[in-house]
Amino acid sequence: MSIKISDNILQSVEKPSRYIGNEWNSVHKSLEGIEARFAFCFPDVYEVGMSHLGMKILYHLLNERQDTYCERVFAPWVDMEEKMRENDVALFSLESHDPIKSFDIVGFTLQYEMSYTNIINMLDLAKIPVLSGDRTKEHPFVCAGGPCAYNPEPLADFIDFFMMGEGEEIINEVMDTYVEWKKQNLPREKFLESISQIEGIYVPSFYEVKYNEDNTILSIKPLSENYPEKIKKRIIKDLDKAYFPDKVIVPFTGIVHDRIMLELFRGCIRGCRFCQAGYIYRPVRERSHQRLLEHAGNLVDNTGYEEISLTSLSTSDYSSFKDLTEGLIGEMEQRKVNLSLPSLRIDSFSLELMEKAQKVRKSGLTFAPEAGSQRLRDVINKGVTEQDLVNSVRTAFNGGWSGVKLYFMIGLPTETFDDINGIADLGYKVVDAYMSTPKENRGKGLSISLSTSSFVPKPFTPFQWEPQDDIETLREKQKFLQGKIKSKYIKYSWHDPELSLLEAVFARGDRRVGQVLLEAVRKGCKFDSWGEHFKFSRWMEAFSECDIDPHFYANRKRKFDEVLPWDHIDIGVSKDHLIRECKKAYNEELTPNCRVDCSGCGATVFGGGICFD
Amino acid sequence: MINIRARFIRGEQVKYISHLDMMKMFERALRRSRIPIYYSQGFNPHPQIVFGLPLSVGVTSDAEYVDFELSEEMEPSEFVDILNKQLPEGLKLSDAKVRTTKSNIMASITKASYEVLVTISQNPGIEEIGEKILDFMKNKEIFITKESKGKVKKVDIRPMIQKFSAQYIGNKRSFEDKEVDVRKLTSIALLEYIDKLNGLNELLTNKEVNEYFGFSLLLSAGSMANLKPEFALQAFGEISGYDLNVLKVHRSGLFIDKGDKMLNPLDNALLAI
Repeated sequence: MSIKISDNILQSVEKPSRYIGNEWNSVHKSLEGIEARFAFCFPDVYEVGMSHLGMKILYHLLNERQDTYCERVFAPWVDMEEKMRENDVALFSLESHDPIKSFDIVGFTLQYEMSYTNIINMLDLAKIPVLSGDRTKEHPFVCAGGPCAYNPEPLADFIDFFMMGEGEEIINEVMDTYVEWKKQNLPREKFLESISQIEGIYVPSFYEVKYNEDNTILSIKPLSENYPEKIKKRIIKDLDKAYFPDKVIVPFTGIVHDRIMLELFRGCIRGCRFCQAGYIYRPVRERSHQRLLEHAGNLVDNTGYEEISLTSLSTSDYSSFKDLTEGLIGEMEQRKVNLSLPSLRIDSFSLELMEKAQKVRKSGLTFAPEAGSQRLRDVINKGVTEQDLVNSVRTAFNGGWSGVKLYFMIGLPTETFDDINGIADLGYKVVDAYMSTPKENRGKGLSISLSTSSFVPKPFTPFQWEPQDDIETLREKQKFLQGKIKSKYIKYSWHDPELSLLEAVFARGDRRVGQVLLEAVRKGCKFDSWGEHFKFSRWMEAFSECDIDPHFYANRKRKFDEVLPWDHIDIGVSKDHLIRECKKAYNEELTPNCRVDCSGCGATVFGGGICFD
Repeated sequence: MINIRARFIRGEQVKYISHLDMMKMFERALRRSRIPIYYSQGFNPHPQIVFGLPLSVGVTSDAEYVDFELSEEMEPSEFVDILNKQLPEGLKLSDAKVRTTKSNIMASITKASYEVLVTISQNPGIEEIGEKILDFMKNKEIFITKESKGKVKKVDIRPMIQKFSAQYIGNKRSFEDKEVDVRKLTSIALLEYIDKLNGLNELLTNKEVNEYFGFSLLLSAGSMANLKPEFALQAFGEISGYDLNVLKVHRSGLFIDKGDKMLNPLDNALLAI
């Protein structure tokens, strides 16, 4: 083993095992016969990045290739970064500990907007030019994918190419093209030209954005007719046939999700109008429960993990839920493996399941009504009623539970103070439900934690044209709600509105906001989603120095005919559908879920999934 | 039901794993191996694994001990072979035996021996160090201040130091010139480590040529009295006036007192009635 980081440094930083590598199931290859070295970068710390399922899949998928060596890279925590800069150590991969500057492709996964500064900072720490225009043949290509890539524009100046949609197929096509390109010793540009012909690849430098005088976008056009006008996302039609690793890396130190993750399906049938995931992952595609049971068995054999969790957007909607959970419990009990359940729709079956699966304290059940009044829940198409919630918590209290978490959003379109009052009311109705539950049935010590996040309008949702409430309004609403909650059983917490503002800017930003990112990084902004490192005043300085108005992006209502920065990206769901849904929202009209009726969103173009079941 | 006591090595690659993470790592390795480990009964079943003495983060060892309780018979050698296939690089069982006594490994450890690699800013000769050690050990009491739970406490560590000696190992240049006499070294682990230091990036290492010394310590360990080698060396530094830089700590043995004998935990006298 070649240690390149001295013990002096490792002993002086928090959690040195973040930087060691060599974990069980990590892949180590000799460089002989390797044509492409891929640095898979997660722009956050080890514990967060290692919890990400997409990375686990693509890491092993790339390493199945004889010609490719994929290694992991995480953002070093601030203490380590300081030591690295002090000692002139460039960002390195966990497997070989080689500097990633010498790799062929450096890929970032974009899971949340507030990780963008870390991307730029990591490139800088790697000694790779942060602007794609400054990279030459001696530098790696820098690419990105993941949910935030659907609006790639804020990162357009930093990323050589984006991969739209699910990576399992497209990444192999990119690697094949890369290996060919490398053999022929062609100029850098030629590689980008070739991959621009792969469906789902977006090379931002091949597109020109023109602006109107009022700062809105006039047009986004390819620089040559060889490049596609619209970049269509890729999906895996049949998940049962898609690659899924039989083993995953078992870290030496605790990570956020330190267990086997079983992905039951992709997409969501619900169509909540604020939810980007509900649109970008369409159509819903399920894995069969037989395949999942097989995966689970293999993963336990190869990892030794003591827990399995089910991950999907709305797990209760899985059509073979009962078969799967009963199969898992039956199989895993003898191997002493626990089943960890996500928040489920509460009914007698799920309660019984929780009793069987989780041999833990009966605390913490989670509900997400999202809005306080029926009117506003209809606006956002959240198909739950107050009666549903009250029935669910009553069932839970009768089953011995005593802790409830309630998640809401404030700042939703059309929201009034009545709706916010409704949030407090719901909290009190949960208290009443507890009090009216017979003492011998309910658990002791009622605790309700009620939290609000602030609505962030996202691309590719029916609310993509909506303004976000400004900071003052959000704060006023939080104070109002705080004043309404007087019960000792209810604890209220809320999100920082400054952070929500920045999320809104970068979620719907165009190419011009990239310079703000660069400036913010220069001013030391990084790890923005970690409260202690979020420096709002530096961000505001960066905006004003770049002469960019954050409110133009966050708090402005767009017209339906405005050219949006992501209009050249095609997720399958049509703009017409989103406009229809937006209008229905204002009319407080519900849209049934995909299993009940097809609303004609456009996702049938992919020729698979629930649209054809 | 069968009890197996095993010794294992913790090398450089895994020295930053904390004690809790190490226990979890063994539990997962056992699940992968399908070795029939016995689980406690009840609401929250736990695998029956007991470690001898926690090892500090950053310390290597070739003498860690752990007791396993299995629900089915198994040959210790088979146990070692199967489990070793599931252990990560740097971690390896080196021996195992069946235990029929009730001795609890955790409660019975009383002493631990360490090899410590040190440089001293003053660059003294080994003879001078030897004299300083003699003086140091002549003290009837050696007080150090320990901080625990916000309280500063004075502790006399002299009774916890059984042996304390040092030897000259060489200097950085002599290693590069391969002049070092391996036979002189008390521990291969220290030598391997010096090799690694030399393989480091220039920028990360101390550029000055330093003399390396190997300190061998035998200290009280376990639940009754426990002294970490760092504290013993810190006290030696304070009393001798040396500015010590501890480069590496390696645990070379754990011991159980039986009568007036000091036995290693795999000694047959401890395992069978």
